[in-house]
Order: sequence, then structure tokens, then C-alpha cells
Amino acid sequence: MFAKFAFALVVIFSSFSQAAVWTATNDWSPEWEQRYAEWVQNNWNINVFANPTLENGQSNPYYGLHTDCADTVYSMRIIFSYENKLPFIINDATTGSGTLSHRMSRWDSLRESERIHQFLRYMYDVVSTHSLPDDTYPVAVTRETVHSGGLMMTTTKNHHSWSIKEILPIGVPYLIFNSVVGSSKSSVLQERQSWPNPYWVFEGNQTPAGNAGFRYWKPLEYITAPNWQVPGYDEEQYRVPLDKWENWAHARLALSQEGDAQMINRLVTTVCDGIQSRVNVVKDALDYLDKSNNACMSDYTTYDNYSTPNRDHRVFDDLISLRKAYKNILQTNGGNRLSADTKSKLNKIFPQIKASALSENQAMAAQSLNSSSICTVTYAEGKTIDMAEFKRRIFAGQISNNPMDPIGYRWGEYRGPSAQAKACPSWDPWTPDFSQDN
Amino acid sequence: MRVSFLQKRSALIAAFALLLVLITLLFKQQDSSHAPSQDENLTSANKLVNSGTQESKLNAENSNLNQLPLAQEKAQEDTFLKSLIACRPDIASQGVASPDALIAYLQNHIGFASTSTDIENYIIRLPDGSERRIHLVGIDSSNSSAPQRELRYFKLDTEGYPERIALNKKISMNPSSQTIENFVHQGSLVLHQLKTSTNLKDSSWLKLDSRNNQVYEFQLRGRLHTLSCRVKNCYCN
Repeated sequence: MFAKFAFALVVIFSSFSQAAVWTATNDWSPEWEQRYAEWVQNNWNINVFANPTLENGQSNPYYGLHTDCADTVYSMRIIFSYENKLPFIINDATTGSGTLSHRMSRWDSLRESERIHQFLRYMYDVVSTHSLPDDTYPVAVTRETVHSGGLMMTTTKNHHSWSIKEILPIGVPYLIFNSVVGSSKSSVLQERQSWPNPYWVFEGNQTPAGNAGFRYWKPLEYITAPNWQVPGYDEEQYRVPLDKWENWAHARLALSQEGDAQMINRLVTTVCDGIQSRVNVVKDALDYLDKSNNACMSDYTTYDNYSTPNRDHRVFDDLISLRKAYKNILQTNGGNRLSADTKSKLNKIFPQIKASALSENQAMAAQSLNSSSICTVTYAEGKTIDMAEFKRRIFAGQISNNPMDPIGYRWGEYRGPSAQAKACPSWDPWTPDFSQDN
Repeated sequence: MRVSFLQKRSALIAAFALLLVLITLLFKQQDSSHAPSQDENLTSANKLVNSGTQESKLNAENSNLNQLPLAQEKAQEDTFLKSLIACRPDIASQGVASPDALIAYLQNHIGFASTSTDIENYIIRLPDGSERRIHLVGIDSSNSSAPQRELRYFKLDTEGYPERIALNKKISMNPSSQTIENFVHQGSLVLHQLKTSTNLKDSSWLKLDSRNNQVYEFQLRGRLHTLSCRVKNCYCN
């Protein structure tokens, strides 16, 4: 009897002894920041939450987590901190003071791998793009300060953030990110090796108050201090005109010049990823419509889940970037470093490159598939288009982001809105804006 | 009554275990003298023990910050006027003597063209003494460029960390002002924090964090300079 009582007390005692998600035995230092950057460059990838097992065969403690953009950025820092026994402390966004940290003992009864899983999920309940400005600070745009492990943010208007996997030697960011806009249940993240449109990044507020641009994690000793007191706080990126911003940042970060063919290939890949990933997103919306017997999406949240204005906007911006790059190459060297095959493919997409994007598109005929087609997508049975035709349709404002539209409208066979879409409420339409084309 | 050897041994083990538990509880009690309690509206960071690591140093700073709100800032040098003269001599010459007066001046004499709310927090105390937090934040997973807000509702766990209380999406997504009011009026208001971004009519920008209608922190970006202040500790860049 006494022995059992004693055993119970010892068990109780043991449960008190654990008091953290993990025990931080290391301290952040310039050396650890360097190791963090190397870890992000080598290990941070789109499958970090999607692979059931790790490379060493052990089960992946982060498997199956669903993240939005800010969750993804925070996860990058949390996971490295956890795996290297470093403290992770951020401001508590739910109150005016105080912090949240790895010291939480809420999950003491769980195994460590379950504790970190629960801690990440907990953090996703608290953090957002609106908490990032208090945990990070704007940095100078140099390779010493903008590097793997940092982040990019937009203004509140577009509420988006990206983690920086790497600044490529050519001076272009390699970004890992996510967006839960849409109904996708996938844990696979997204990536891009190109500049987000600076007009979109800084839209509405290109000042320190807008919080957009390149940022880095505040050192722990400054975590509760105002950003401007953090050593390295820098406002220069807010003083560069937006029409020069990308070239300015690119020049600051480039170690080597990107070849023309390499640049075109990179930008084509970015556009193509955007078009191809749209197929399943639109299909999800159509499946939902089908299941609901084409009933109106009367509440904003459902409509927002299945509409695609931001996604379509990004593909449009990326097509504009590709067009500008090709035009610039032709003006600089006549395209003599591009193969005839590449030029033929680009000419199919941009048949009047010397003209403005708008006038080119007004004169552009429908494009059928041929040997110069690239990035072909089949969006429905018997419906396959290439990048040139998608570009023609989206530049013409025919690609519908309204989830109430049938598939032909969603992919621009017909100009919307359809009768079905007209009969239902809609929000946040996006149409092409050519004002940045020059 | 005879006590067997086994019984004696069991009693000794139990006594030893009891001693261990008492020692543990004693240490935990000492810890909690630094730690937050739900009633005191303190935060988790205070719970960190002084082990000489970065986090313990931070904890020491946070303890002061949390136990005496604004004490740290109040103790800092008042550089408001000096910074205002350097950054905005035109406004300084109007006799603006404090951050609150500056914000009032901006609103009344320059004018706010548009204001968006980044974060809004209400901390309330329920009649039973427990704390609730109402965290209103823009929805990231939205296509909309128009403000879409989510109400996140929290109680505090035994360590003083916020613990989210699940709400029906119809309540939490884009809550009406009436819904927010209903949540706030469940108890007495401890803190109302409002973080806003404002476009002024002269094209300058203001990022403002106010607590209970008092200016806590702001950044004012004009044509040439940015004036940044937390309480009265300011910096002109």
C-alpha cells in the first residue's frame, strides 16, 4: 500500500520535472545565425510538412501541418530552434506586452515529437502577418543582411509573407511560402525563384509603417524593444521608387550576372507554375459547385475560399515580368544569346514585343498548339492550352476568378460573368492593370 | 501492533518520495514568485528561470515590463521634443509637447485621409476573476484587399499563456461591432490596444499603437524623416 503510494508520488514528481517544449541549451549568436542560414538554404523546402518520414527514416514530427503564409515563415525559425536546442521567443500578439516561448509546459505529458507538433499548431493560432512586424525588423538590402532564413512581407493591403530559402547568386530571391486561399488541403508549400511585384509588395504604403519588404528576426535581447532600436534597422528600401525597386534590389544582391537564357527559363518556370497550379484550384471550386447544385456562395468566406483573384493577379504580374525581361534582352543585344527555339517560343507568347502589352494583346489572335507551345495545361477533357493562349486570355481580362462561373469562363473561353455568376453575389473582382507596363 | 520490515521499508520510501515532492513544490513556488499568474495578468515569459541564458536575461527584462507596465519605457530618456524638433520643426514650433498632443495635432491640423486597423486587442476580466483576450486581426487567408477581420478569443492557461477558445466561423469571421461589443461586455475592460496605419492628408504616414486611448508607440514618416517613439523615447531618422 505504502509502496504504491510512494510510486504514485514519484510519478507525479517526474511529471513536474519537465517544463518546456524543448530545453534550450544553446544561445543565439552570429555563429548560430550562420548555421540557421545554412540550414534554411539546405533543408527548408516545399515538402517539410508533406513527407511522412525524414531523410534518416524517422517519422517527420511536422508531417501533415497546414500552414498559411505567416505560419510558414514562423515555422522556419521554430523548427531550426527546436532541432538545435535554441530558444524561440516572440511577442505575444494577443496582448500589449509579454512573450510566447518554447518554455510552455502545456504539453508536458506528450512525447517530445508530439510536443513540437502541438507547439507549432498552437503558434498558428496566435501568429499572423500582423504579428510579424513586431518579431522582425526591416534590414538593409545587402547580401550580409538579406539572406537565407529572413523574410519578405507585403503591406497590410495584400497581407502576404514569404520565407527566404536563398538569395541566388544572380541576386534573385528563392522564396518558400504558402497561401491557404482556396480549398486545398495539401501540406505541400509553394516556391518561386523570382521577384514578387514591388508594386504589390508595397501597395498602399511604401514606408516603415507599411512593414513591407525585406526583414529579419529580432535578436532575443531586443524582442520587446521597438524595431528602430534594433541594431541593423534600416529604412533605405522605403526610399527607392517602386519603378526602380526591383533593379535596385537585384543589383544590391547579385554576385554574378544571370545569362539571358537562364533568366528566361527561370521566369517561364515561375509563370508556368502559376498556370499549372491553377488547374486543381479551379477544379476544387467546380467540384464544390457541383456538390451544392450550383447554389450561390452567399457568404464571403466560402466565395473567398474558391475565388482566385490574387492567384490570377500573380500570374499576370509574372507574365508582365517575363515580357519586360524579353523586351529588355532584345533591346540590349537583339536576343543573340537566346536560341532560335527559345525566341520562337517567346514570340508565340509575345507576338508584338515592341508594342505595349495592351496593344499587343488587342491584336493577338487565339493561339493553337504547335511546336512553339510551352507550358501546356489540360484544364478539362479535350481542353488544352499553352502559355501563349493563357496569356492572351488573361491579358484580355477573360480569365474569370469568380468561383460561380462554369469552367469555360474560368479559363477564358468566354468572357464572363456567366448568367450563373451574375445571379449570385461576388466580391473582390480582379482585372488586368497595364499601368505598370512600360 | 507489530510493524513488519516490508511495511517499514514502504513507509521509508513513501516518506522519501513525499520529501522529494515537497522540495519540488517548494522550488516551483519560488519560481512562481517570478512567474505570471492568471489573476495578475502577467505573461509566460516571467516563468523562465534564471539560468544565465539569453532567455533568462530576456525574462528579467520582461518581468519588469510586465509587472510594471510602461515602467521600463518611462525610465528611458525623454527625447520626444528633441526628436520632434529634428524631424518636424514645423510641428514642434506649434507647441506640441507630448506624443498624445502630436497625434491630436496631426488629426486636427493635417487630417487623416484613411486609417486601417492592423491589430486590436481587448483584455477583459470576467466576474469570476479570470481573464479573456479578444484579438482582432486581419485574415491572411483571404483574397480581399478590403479589410477582413477575424476574432480570436483566448482564455489563459495555468502558466498565463493564451489558449484559444474555438468559435463558430459565423461569429469569428468579420465580426460585427455588436458582436465585438458583446464579447467585450462580458467583463471589465483591462486593456484596449489598437494598432493602426494612417495615411495623412499631407501624404505622410502614421503607424500608431495606442493603449487605453494613450499613445504607446508610433512612427511618423514625412517627406524627409521618420519620427519613431515608444512612450517618450524617440528617434529621428
